[in-house]
Amino acid sequence: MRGANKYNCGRQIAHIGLWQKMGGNCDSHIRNKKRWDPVETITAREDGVLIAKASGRVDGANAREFQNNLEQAIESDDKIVILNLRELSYISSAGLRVILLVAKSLQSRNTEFAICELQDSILEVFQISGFDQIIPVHASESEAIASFSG
Amino acid sequence: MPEPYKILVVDDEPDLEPLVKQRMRRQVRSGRYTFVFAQNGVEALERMGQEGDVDMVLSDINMPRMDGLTLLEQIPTVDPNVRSVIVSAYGDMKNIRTAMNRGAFDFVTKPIDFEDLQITIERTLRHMEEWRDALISRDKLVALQNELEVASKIQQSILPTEFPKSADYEIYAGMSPAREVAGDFYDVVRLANGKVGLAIADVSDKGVPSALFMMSSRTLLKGTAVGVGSPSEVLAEVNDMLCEGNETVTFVTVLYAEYNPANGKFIYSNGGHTMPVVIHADGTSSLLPPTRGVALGVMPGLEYQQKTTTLSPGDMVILYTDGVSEAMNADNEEFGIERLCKIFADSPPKSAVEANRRVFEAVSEFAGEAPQSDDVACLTLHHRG
Repeated sequence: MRGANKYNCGRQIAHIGLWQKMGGNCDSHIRNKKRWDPVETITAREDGVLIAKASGRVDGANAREFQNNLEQAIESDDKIVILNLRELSYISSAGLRVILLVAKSLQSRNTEFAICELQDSILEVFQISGFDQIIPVHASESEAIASFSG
Repeated sequence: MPEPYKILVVDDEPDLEPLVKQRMRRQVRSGRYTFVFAQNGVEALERMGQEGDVDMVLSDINMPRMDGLTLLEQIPTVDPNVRSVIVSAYGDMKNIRTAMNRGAFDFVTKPIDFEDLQITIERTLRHMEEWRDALISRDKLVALQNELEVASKIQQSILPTEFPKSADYEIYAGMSPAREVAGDFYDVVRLANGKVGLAIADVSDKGVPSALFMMSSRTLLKGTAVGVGSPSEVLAEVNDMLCEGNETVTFVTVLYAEYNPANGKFIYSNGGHTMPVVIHADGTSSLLPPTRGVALGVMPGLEYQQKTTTLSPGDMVILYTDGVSEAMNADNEEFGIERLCKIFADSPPKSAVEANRRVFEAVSEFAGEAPQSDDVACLTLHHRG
């Protein structure tokens, strides 16, 4: 018997919103456009808060570069590190590993860490892998910073 | 300091030996290279064969017994890594062309300008050094390639190829690695009371580091599945073990389920993996209701949810990795879960073997000429009921 916990594929997608973009034109379009861009990391520092912005694609080929960029940007006296992923169009599991490594290393020296402004496809990756449960995800930089004050 | 390079000078003119020794004494004294001498091609080949220590040959063309052009043809049979420079009469383009065509690296003309000869020797030796470095790298690569092939076989051999089966159910699975070794795997474990444990998993990134992590994940998962508890307890325990000493923060997404053929009960728990699809007997499909959980290996002490669904007779549960759902075609479109569901809409599969084969075929057809960028794994359970 088909119980209430079985869903039609399409309804399920709408219900949890995880797979909304998979196979959809929007997601493919974004990836298409950014496909060959390397990962770039730009940082700015204000009042002890480091904002790092990653853009392009992170995959197995440039994950090491992404890691080096982040590690070089972060200084030992940074109290809060926010990674803004607004311009990031794709992240593979190799890229996720880099963000986890950074999160772990910051945690070990009591530096606050959060990510923000994730595109839908990137948010989906964090949701499926469950990493949104161990790394704080925020809608904006100010929201992320506010979450650490008080 | 490295051994000096040995240059074999071949000429029937007896005055050349003292001249070379005199004019090139500084280079010889500095230990960069030394000279040995032969009177003709035959003597040169004998000298090369004896010690096997000649790096470069500097040869005249006209000599008794064996001339320089014939010698050029013979040198590769004695040592293909020796480089030759020919000494010709000024303007003798015909012989120079022949010598180059026979593999001479360069030429100098008579009367020998020793400054030019020195430059030519340096250039030849540098080329040879680079050539030898390239050969060493190639040998190392070949050795690594061979090791990878062995590793690939070892890895493939631990994935089950025979699956438990009864009148109530059928299981089939396959994996296609993107490189020699993979991070994706599946497993099927017989549990107590006729139940069956099913797992599909995907280690972060690809290649050798993932393959190593895959091997330990698979062993821990199998041992834990047989040993204790419900799917959520299995994932929690495997997670804790994988977290120990995992400095590289390599992680593995796992969907693990316990299936009871007697009543169709399918209890599953998810650690960061994509949810399985169920294809019903009439070709319609659904996704299993998600359970949230973090990929394994990242943080110890996590708890995992589990849910239970009851399969209807004829249901096929398809467990897969993102190599299926995220397979890309030449236009950078993703295969996606909707396409996966649609494969069977018009003609429901009759067996797990058929369903699994059709998933691989559909992904391969969709990807077309686009290179396979990720491992693809798929496991199908057919609950006949």
